[in-house]
Amino acid sequence: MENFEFISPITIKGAVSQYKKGANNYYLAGGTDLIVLMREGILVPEKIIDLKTAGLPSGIKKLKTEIRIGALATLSEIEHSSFIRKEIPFLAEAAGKLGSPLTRNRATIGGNLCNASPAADTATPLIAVGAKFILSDGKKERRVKAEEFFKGVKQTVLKKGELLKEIVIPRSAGKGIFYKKSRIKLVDLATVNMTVYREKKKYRIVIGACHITPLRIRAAEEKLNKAKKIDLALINETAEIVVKTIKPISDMRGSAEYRKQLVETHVARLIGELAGVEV
Amino acid sequence: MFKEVNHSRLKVDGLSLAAGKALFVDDMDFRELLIVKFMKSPHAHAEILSIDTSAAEAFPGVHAVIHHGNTPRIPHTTAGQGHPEPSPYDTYMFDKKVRYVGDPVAAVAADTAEIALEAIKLIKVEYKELEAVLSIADASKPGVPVIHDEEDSFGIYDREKNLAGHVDVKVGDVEKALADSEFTVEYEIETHYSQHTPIEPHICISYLEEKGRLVIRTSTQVPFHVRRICAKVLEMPEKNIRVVKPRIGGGFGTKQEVYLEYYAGMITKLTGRPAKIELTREEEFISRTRHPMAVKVKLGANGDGMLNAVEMDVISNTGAYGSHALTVMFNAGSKCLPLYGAKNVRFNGSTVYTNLPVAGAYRGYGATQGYACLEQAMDILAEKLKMCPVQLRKINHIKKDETSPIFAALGEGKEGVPQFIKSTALSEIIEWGEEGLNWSDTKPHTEKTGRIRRGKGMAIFMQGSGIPLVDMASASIKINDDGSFNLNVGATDLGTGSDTVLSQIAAEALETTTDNIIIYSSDTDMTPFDVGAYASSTTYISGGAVKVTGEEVLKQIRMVAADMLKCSREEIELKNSIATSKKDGKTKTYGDIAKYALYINNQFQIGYIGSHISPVSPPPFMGVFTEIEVDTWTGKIEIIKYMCGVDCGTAINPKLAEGQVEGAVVNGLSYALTEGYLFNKKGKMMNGSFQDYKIYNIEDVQGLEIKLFSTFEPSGPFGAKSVSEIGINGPIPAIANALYNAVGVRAVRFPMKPEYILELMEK
Ligand SMILES: Cc1cc2nc3c(=O)[nH]c(=O)nc-3n(C[C@H](O)[C@H](O)[C@H](O)COP(=O)(O)OP(=O)(O)OC[C@H]3O[C@@H](n4cnc5c(N)ncnc54)[C@H](O)[C@@H]3O)c2cc1C
Repeated sequence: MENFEFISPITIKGAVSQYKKGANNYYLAGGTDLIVLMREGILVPEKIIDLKTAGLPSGIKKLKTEIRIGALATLSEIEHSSFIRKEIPFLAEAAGKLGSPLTRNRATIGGNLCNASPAADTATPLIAVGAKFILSDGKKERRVKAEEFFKGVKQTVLKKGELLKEIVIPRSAGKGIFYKKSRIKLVDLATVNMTVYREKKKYRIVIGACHITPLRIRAAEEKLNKAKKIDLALINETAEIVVKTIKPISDMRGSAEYRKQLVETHVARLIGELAGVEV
Repeated sequence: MFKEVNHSRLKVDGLSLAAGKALFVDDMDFRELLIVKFMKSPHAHAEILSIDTSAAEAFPGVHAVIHHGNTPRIPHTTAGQGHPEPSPYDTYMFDKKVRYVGDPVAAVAADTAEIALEAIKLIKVEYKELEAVLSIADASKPGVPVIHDEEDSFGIYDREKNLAGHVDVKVGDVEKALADSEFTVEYEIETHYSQHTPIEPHICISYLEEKGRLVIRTSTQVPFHVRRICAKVLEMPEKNIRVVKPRIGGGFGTKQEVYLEYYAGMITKLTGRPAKIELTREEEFISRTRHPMAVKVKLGANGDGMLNAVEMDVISNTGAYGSHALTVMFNAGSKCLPLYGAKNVRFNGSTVYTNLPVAGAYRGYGATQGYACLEQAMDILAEKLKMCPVQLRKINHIKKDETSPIFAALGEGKEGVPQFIKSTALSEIIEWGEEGLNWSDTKPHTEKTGRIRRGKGMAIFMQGSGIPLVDMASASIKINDDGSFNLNVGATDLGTGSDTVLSQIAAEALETTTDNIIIYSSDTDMTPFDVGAYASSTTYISGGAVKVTGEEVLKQIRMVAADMLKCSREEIELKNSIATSKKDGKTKTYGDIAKYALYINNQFQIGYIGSHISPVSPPPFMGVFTEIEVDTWTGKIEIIKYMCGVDCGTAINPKLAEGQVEGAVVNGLSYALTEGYLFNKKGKMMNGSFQDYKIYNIEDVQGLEIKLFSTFEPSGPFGAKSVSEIGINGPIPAIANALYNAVGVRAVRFPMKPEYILELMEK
């Protein structure tokens, strides 16, 4: 690894101003993405700015109408939080499927999202449940919808120096299911992952690892939402729409064809489970 | 009946390992340690026209740069086998030619790894790229480039055809027998590249001790072969080299290879400083691998199911260098064909060079590849015969006191030795599996419907225990004042537990307890010779040496005790570290006896060095019965049950023996279902990390049921045979047979990934 300057700011403002001082500076949260890339020589940062000292929120807060998860909350915290397990079990499930226990003890949800991998495991449940992200540039804060946060592979709406501070999730009575397919059961990135969510008979379908970003498939949702009755034929038609919309690539984890096959099968299964239809 | 063996004694190094106290190669600090890094070939096949290292040498912190221009050119093999090796001498420390992507071009020794890597970027090499051979199919086509066209290599079967080795052995008349058979089967598969992935990669540190001798501390399975091969390549006598193997983190065959130690030794020789080489995981993947093989089996049988003829054709891919080229290929025949008692048998094997990563020894050693085809062919035959596959095996498998002509015809790269089976529980194992899996309820795939389909599969296997009349091991035992014993063995514990097993054998032979044995192993200065840990030999061969040594020491103890207790030797009874005179019931402890012999009268050191070779290699046997679920939507195979019965003779330490089987099974499941190399068009491996090369971990293992079946092997120490390799042979054929039973498709390529299964089902 090349040499770099390590900075521990004590405020968000300080972190942002340090970040803006150069063109090749990086925020550090758990480091489970960043350090790997640095070791491989893919990233050669000038400055590493540690967010862990910068006063970013960590932990999980239960408010009356919403749940707040700090960007520094680790995936183990989310996986094991009895509150999250009760209220958004599919997010806990997704967090618990990421990497190994070792990884999850370090990795943060903020890092998982800002890293913006199309396969990021916490992305599809957050988009499905209608989460919003609070972003801060040290002075002002703004909110964006989770589904609008991702712009491409490793690209987000974050402006230079802006950081992800907190995740806001509306409390609701909806039900969701997360599914991840990987080559082996522990410690593997998703070949595909997805969340299907249902609230007051309205569905949200979000597919990961099949496009440059996690993808919400609105046309498929429409089909379900408009239907009077959900039966097997409709579910199959919906799954077909999903498959037509996604644009997966072929890589080590699976061919595009195989990914489509996986999505078709499992999206149908998840919808069926939520709708109470045998698939 | 046994007091120390056949009991699951605690691992003698267990506590120190668990407490982090045991020292591995890298756990010792050396002053002025240099780190050695390789510059590797970016081309699969190229000539080096020129190499300019001046800028690298001038780089601050660099202490030596070695390459073909400044190192001795000594043809050798890295196979780490006994002398003289049955592998071709086709390898050099560095050559003017590179033969696979990753072949070492130069090595840089520097104060830090970072400096060495920076300096490597400054080396200028001019290559002339040559056409590369990238598959078994292309290797021997007319007009293909010759990979080993250098003049001074030798032992290559036919270099013009890229043939590293070849054999054609016939017993009886196979052609006629096949023609005369009512039922015949011909089946062909190709197995794939895979790697041992030991948790500790290859690592060694060399340094000079105070008298100027070279010490190499290395993670090896073969310390004595390391000494011999380094002596040759470094052009220095064996007496000036000491090789020490500390605790090591797994080998599975890849650490039988001797190919890093001499680079470190060379750097130490040149600089006088300690030098360390540690492979990265990416480098580990292209260090040594399993030979991929194209295997074809023909079977002929009459209506009663008795086999008339078995023919096996094998083309093995040894990659760029011929490490274990001949012997792994031989073992595909010699470890598979004797399992069935056909009178007409033929084995035709070739090993080809390609410009792909170098293959070498890997747990299973050719048998794994052979069985992948043979045991599927047996199922196909059973179907043709309309016979239960279990029944077909029952009537054909080799039984006690039977022999096979293959034992004598095929050995380790030469003829073998005749032998009869003296211990086997294979019939019982088959009964156990048949019952445990409710085999009689098995339905054909044509009767299965629905998304998730279950299938049952079975297969049977044998392996060997050491190389007969070749593998030699020795042990030395001496008594201490308090009646404890030092046991020094050349044998190599690579995490297998052999230090424990050998201590138990010594304790049993010496009529004492295992905690009275202080074992020290694998140090060429301190311990007597042993060929090392390979060919499933340690318990059987090294254990044999420990047993004879213990028995000799016991005779001396008896003699001294008789002197002390004033009775005849025959009147001495030895038990639990106490000698009792049957005449008057008086006793002396081993401590009394040791002190007497060391200090009091007719003083001498009670002790002995004993050696052992075996004229035979008794096979352990195994039966695997598995039930799987195939998801016809995704192609995913789930193991529901994997029953594995193993006859390893007397299990010296049942827990450790089970552990060996478990490890081999999981290793094999991973090989069968997920592991595989992806090469680009230019022969570069593209998935050299655990992110993209997936090995099974604990969550993937389910439904495993392992049972040891005790037999008594008369030629083994206290009835023991081997156990470490056989388990890996099971998964491919047993799961492939279950796959057929579930969905009616046969896997001919591997691993059996979901995508491939779907592809087969769509055909
Ligand atoms: C062995 C292993 C297995 C893994 N398995 C998975 C898996 O199964 N699924 C999966 O999705 N991922 C996996 N990952 C990737 C990684 O662990 C996750 O993406 C993790 O959540 C990243 O979090 P972190 O806190 O470690 O991020 P870091 O590495 O610290 O940061 C990642 C990136 O985000 C930026 N960043 C971090 N926090 C913020 C913030 N608050 N605001 C703005 N930018 C920020 C950083 O600058 C950096 O560019 C794995 C990684 C490893 C090493």
